[in-house]
Amino acid sequence: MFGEKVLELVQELQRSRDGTMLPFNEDGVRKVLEEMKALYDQNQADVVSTREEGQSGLFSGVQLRHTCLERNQRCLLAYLHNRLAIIRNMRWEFGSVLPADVKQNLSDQEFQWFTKYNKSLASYMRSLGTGGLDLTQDRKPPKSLYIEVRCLVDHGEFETEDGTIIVLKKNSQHFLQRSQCEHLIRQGVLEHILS
Amino acid sequence: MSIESNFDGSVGHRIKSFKNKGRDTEEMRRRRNEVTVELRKNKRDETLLKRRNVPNLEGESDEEPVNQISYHELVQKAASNLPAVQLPAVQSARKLLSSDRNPPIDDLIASGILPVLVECLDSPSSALQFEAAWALTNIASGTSKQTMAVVDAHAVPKFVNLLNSDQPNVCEQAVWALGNIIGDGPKCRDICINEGVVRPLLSFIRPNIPLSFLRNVTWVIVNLCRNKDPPPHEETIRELLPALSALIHHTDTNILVDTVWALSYLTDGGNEQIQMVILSGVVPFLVPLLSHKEVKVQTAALRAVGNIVTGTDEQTQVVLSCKALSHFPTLLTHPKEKINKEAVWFLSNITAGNQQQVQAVIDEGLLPEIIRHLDGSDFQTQKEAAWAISNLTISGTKQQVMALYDNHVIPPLCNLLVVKDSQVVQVCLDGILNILKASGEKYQEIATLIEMCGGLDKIEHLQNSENDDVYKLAYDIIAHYFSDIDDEDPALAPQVVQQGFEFDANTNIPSDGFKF
Amino acid sequence: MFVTDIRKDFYEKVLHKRVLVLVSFDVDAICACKILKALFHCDSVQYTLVPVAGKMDWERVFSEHAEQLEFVVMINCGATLDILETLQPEENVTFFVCDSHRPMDLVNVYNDTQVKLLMSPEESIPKYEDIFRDDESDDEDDIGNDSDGSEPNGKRRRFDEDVLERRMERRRKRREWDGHRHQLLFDYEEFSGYGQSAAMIMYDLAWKMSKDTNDLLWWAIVGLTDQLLSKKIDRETYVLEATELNRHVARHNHRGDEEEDSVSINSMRISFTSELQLALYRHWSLFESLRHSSYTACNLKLWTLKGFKKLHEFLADMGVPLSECKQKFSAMDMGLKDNVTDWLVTSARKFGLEQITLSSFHAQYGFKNKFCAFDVAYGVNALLESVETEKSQEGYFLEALDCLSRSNIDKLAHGLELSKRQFRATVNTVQSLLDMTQVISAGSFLYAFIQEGTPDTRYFARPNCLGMLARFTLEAYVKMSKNRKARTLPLVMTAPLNLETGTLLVVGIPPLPELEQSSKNFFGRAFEQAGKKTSSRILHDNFDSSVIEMKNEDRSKFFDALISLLT
Repeated sequence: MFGEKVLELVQELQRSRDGTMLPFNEDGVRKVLEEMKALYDQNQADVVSTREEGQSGLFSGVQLRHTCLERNQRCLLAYLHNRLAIIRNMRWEFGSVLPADVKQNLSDQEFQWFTKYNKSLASYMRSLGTGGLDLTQDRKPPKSLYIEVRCLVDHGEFETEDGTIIVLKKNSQHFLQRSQCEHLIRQGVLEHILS
Repeated sequence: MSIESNFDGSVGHRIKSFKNKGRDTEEMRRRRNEVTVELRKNKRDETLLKRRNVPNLEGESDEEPVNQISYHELVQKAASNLPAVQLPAVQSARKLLSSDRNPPIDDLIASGILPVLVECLDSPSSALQFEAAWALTNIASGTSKQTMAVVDAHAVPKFVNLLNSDQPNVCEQAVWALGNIIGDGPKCRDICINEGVVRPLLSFIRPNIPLSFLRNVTWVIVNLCRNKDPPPHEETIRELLPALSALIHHTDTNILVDTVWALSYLTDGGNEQIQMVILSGVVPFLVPLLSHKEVKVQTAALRAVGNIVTGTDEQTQVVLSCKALSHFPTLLTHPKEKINKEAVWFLSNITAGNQQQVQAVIDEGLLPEIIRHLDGSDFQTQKEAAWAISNLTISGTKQQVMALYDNHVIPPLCNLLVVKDSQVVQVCLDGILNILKASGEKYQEIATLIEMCGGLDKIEHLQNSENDDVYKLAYDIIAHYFSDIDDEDPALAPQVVQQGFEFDANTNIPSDGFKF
Repeated sequence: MFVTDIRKDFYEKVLHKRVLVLVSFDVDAICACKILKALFHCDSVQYTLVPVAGKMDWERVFSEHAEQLEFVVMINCGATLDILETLQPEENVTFFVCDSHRPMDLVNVYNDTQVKLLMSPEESIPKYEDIFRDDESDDEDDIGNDSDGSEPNGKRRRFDEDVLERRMERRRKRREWDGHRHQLLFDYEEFSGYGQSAAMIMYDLAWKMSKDTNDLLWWAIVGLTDQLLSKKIDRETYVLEATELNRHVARHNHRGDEEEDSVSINSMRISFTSELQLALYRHWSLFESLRHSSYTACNLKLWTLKGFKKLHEFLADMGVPLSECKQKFSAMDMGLKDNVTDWLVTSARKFGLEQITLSSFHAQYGFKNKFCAFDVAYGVNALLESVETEKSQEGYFLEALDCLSRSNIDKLAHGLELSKRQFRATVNTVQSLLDMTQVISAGSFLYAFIQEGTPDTRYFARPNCLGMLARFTLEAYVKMSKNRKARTLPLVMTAPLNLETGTLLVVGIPPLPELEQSSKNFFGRAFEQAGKKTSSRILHDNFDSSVIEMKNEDRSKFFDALISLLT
């Protein structure tokens, strides 16, 4: 049945919605392209024979094959597009260096695309303000200057910019300037509490 | 055992080598530790609670208005020939000195009152003698410098003279003044003795003497006995002892307390003095005072008998023969920590004695109490208990030492191994080692207990101690009793001697070497 | 010293500084803490918040954080302990204490510089002159030869007669003063008890700063309610304070004449109503609630067969079918649900349960969330003292702190579930104690030992929960007992605390409150003395002196001493 292979690709994508990046299914894409070529060739042959031999009964066949071709195209494009979208999200999540196991699963072109995207993003960020601005660090704008945080592990003493020393012990709560402790939140030492 | 003590008597000195099994028993007895113990005050008992950080808003407490009289004027009047002028002046001087606070002693001395007052002591007027004596008493009650000033003004012979006055108030005042001078120190004491103060002083002890006078006399005797660098002359002590033997029967608490303190000072001066005290026959009356209803008396008596038992075995026995130990169950459970401590100290000197004396302690059932104090009390008391135990392990028979084990001494003894005082640690290690030795074949049981109660870890740790004696002891214990060779018979183990191990000299070594 | 203007002397002092906040493990403290936190968030006052379970934690946390700290706020801890002596702080550290524990330590009361108490002064506090004396003129020479067993003086001065007399007089007066002081201190420190709720003090502060909101008010209500439920205050005091709070409720929640829809359904609304003393009935079934609430359980004697039958009669009298009663309350038939409270009150009177209602508050926000203050207090407490092993005790403290926020309703719901389990365990234990007559009279007090073995006992390794069990047991016992004297006896209860270290938790509660007197608890001192006499290994760690920990082996000698002490 035409279109089944490409459906498999799409289903594969659906299954990997939980965030894992499956390897680029070179084989599947190739098979689909082969199918498309086969369909296209057949259609060409039929068009030629219709024109030359004047057979009208082949039109439905051609139409059918054409529809299949369009379907294959659409699914393939969806497959490629969604994969790129995932890669792009990964840039925002993980930073400019991809984890090794993810890299393995990308096709060469995808990896090239990733590098180019990286470059574009970097040059854009550099152009903002003076000295550039790293947009990938804080995706949500802060709501307040001071936040309440809870300490999840015994981190010991922590010195803020103005010299005060705060003792971070497990299960203590603190109210301080967001800018002072953001990095600790990212590290997992502190947890932001929204009351 | 020779009377001569080869113990230098200074604080804290301990046996140089206790690796020797036989410790000189005289060396084991210890003089009272001079260091004063700061007892932690129980906040609830403090009658004064300090309010913290409060600026002192109240001014100085109101002082009596100082009369701006010229001291020189006063001295001049006091030197006058006219009794009507002289007596009131001397009386004023006396009143200045007997007022409530801050008597102007130095001011008066500076204005030259001393020679004037001393002169008055020879006056025919007994009223004048009395006032002058009172004034001089109060001057002599001050600092050592002030007392010396009185002595330098040649007051002493005149005071001794006044002891013969027919006016009792003059006699009493002279006694008081001399008491202050004698109490200044051994030098002044000896000056007064040389001026012949003792005989007339003691002659006042008569049946119908007023109580306050007798209290004063007793107090002066205390001062005569007091200092021991050097102690009073043997002759003087011989004179004083009969008086003390008589006074110990008195019923007045103040006199009793002072008498017993006097005896405690005398017994603090070495074995010869202890012997004199014993020969005076006062000990049988001293011992029962350990259970006197007044704590003050108990404290002094405990000190006195405690000093006696730092002497020879025979001297110690004198005290024990008066059933001293029967008072100790109560003393060891007394609510006052200080008494507990001194009681345990006393017993530590008994357990340093001969085996009969050790047995007496055991028979009186005192071991559990000593061990209880070892387990938890003021640290100073625990220290004394450690000594008591350790001494017992040296002087006692195997059975007596095992009695300690039976009374669960091992865990608290091990617990003390972590204190910072290395002397205590040494003493405890010594005790543990001796108990293990005494157990002979059955040491395994004790070793197991030491391990279970955490003592083994502590001893192992002590092998790293900086203190040589401690580390050697710890090492010995581990090596002999906790080494892997289970069947190592401690009797076969080489004797531990200071420089190293001493191997059995009896093995036959062929004279011309081994031939294989 | 006591602060006179809480805003100026406390809040404004910490306004631009960093503060260490120490909070003890009880619901009132948690509520006070939430209110204070909200104020601090408003004004961006930086703070560090640490929960402290007892004195040891309190000391340890202070020393850990003491560096560079100038201000410490203590909530429901510290008033009864000599702060300066115990913590030995630097001179520049100021302590603000908001503690409902009594009696307040006198050194704290009279310190002028470093200790500031946010509570109001009380009449029972002895006057300064009667307790303290400025140091002077004590070290005069004694008249006698020696003093208290020390050695005789080397030198003595002779004083004038009148001087001697004055001295004697002074000595006599001094002895008299000492005696009087001793008596005053003894009376003052004899009983432990509770004062105003910490949450209410914090709310008062918020109000004075015009920063009070409905949320803060609700927390103050919960704090007060917790005091009532753990019998720290009596009904009268509760009613007075609740009336006070009601004024604020009215102010924030007046409906006006407009339609009710003018206020969004999602904002919090508090109302003051007469509430049934049935624990958690809205979140449980009516039947279960009746069974597990101490008022109904004890008055109907539900652990007896007869009592059980009476319960059925009661329900029948109410006119509600049994099946409905056993249904989840929220699932009850609509018609019944609306009227059941009225029917209950009417029937209650017939069955001797006159005091089944009590004025209280509910809060409503959104359609789903309607909570009554009693339930919330129970829920928060259950979370706080959770015995699950997932988190540490401090972890559960933080959970309890969180659950009071409106965004954490699910945590509160979990708390309510835990509370039900606590209630079931309590009722089961009371039942078994009474069935096996394990509540024993020692003449001057009652006692009961909870043995380990059942899974229920782990709930009682927590002080608030054990206290609740003790009160329930006492009420039940008194209702059962034919002994008239039982009404006047206090109760001591022990439960296993930690099997590894072999310790027990011991709680002493005063007798059931009579009409006039408020309950005074003398167990703090009694435990201390009994422990000292027998050298038992006890730990007075809790801020409430009537709660101690003890080693298993010392229990029998401790109780012997306690018995001889109190007869």
